[in-house]
Amino acid sequence: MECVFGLVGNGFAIVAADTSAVHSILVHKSNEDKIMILDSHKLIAASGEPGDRVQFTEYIQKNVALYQFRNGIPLTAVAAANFTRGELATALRKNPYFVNILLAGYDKETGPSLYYIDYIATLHKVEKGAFGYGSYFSLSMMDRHFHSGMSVEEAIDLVDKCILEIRSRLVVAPPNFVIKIVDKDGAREYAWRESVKEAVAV
Amino acid sequence: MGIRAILSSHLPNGQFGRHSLCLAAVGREHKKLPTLYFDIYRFSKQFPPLLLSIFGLSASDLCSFSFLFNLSLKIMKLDTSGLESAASLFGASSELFDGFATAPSFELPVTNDFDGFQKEAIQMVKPAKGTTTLAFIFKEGVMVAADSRASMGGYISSQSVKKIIEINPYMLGTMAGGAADCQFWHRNLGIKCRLHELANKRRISVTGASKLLANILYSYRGMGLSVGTMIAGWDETGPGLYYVDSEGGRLKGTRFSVGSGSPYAYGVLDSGYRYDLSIEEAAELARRAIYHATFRDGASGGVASVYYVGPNGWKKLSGDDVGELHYKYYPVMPSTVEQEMVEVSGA
Repeated sequence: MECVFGLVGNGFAIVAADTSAVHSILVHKSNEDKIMILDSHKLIAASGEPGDRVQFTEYIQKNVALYQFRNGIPLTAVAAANFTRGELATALRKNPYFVNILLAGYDKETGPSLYYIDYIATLHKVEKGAFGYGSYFSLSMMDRHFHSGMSVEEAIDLVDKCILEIRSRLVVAPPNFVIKIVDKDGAREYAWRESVKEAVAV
Repeated sequence: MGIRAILSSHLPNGQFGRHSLCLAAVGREHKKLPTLYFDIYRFSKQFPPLLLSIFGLSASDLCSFSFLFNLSLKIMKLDTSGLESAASLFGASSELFDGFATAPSFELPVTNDFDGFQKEAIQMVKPAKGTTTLAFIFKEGVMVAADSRASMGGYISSQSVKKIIEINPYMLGTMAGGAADCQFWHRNLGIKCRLHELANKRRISVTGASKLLANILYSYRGMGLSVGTMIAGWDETGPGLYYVDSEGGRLKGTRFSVGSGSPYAYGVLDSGYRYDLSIEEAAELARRAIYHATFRDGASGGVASVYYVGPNGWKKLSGDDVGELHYKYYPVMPSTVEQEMVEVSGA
């Protein structure tokens, strides 16, 4: 049910995730932000069991911050991805985390990157990736329309195409999505795509 | 073996369960670093601030970070701080080394068919979350409402259960799922909140309280706890409402309903909700939503209690029997008779 997908463009990486918090047939919340800003130039889009998702991504976030405090320099995206995979792998045979992760990062030396990290600790560096039922629709859309070095406008257009496809073809399609981008200026929220307005807390 | 620890410093801001930095200092076991982070993170979420430092660190490190003890345990750690007093932690540093070596145990019952007995026991305590609770934030504060029926399968065991638990004078928790689990862990949360107040000279926020509870429940994940609760309160930032459940999920929101009757309650609540309701209107909305849920859901019923949480704490507003509410909302009208049976004479 949880749709997460992302792609790499020209000097940036973009990830989109749905924002519904669901419990069997009930939607508890439709503005839950599942893309965590890991540090200034990294994003983690996570989908999976609610407790695991929050706890594991917070754990990774704090350890990445710890590394920066201890060593004075931030982790690279590839290092953060490998650390994440390592944690998932270590916990796998005892107390597995059921979280699927797309880690988007930007390094000054190597540029933007996107890492696909499975709940069974698979790690791949990819240019486009997706998780969840939405992946059945978004992967082929991205395969068809993606090319290396897309501009932000082209990439957002592709993301919107994928969201539209998911909304129209997936039986329990999530109503709202959040899009976040990471480039040389840092990781930040780009836009929300809402079709159901949630009452905002004070 | 683990890391040797000596008593020396405490967490910088004195808040337990919330600090974000974990520092692992390693004596001889550099290769265990990855699991150290994992253990220390988990450990840090569960234990009250211990006075520790890690052997072998420089003074500058000691000053900058919070320190934790590395248990060389690789198994899931339970948060048993609710079951032990804080005093025991200070004296028993050698026992902490080995972790929880002696597990609590109990005697098994004498029976011919132990498997059958186990099955029956599990069925009896099987969580069904038969209840309706709801809470929502509005202009004046938070409105919390719940029914009061307890059911064991098809049997109504009680019609007068208190499902709104008073954690402290400005925070409420709702009960859905296992009654014992909810009552115990809410009481435990109340203890932790009070300890926080005493340690920090200020009240804990609703965010902090709900995170404390969520971390505890997460550590017991998969062990059969059944808790679906909402933490509602008023703190410095205004009204706060969080949904926390025993699967480890924690959601911040403005409207929640939990339990078997929650879909029914959501319908009435969503359609009647406006942010700028007055207190009476909000109470009536909450009461009506609970009533409609009890009407349709067999596992909800009894008394619809409504509480209000405002800047000065919570206040119970009403507790009405849902049967009486039914006749208040839908009074009995004399209905026209369609067909009347008439005695036919001479048959």
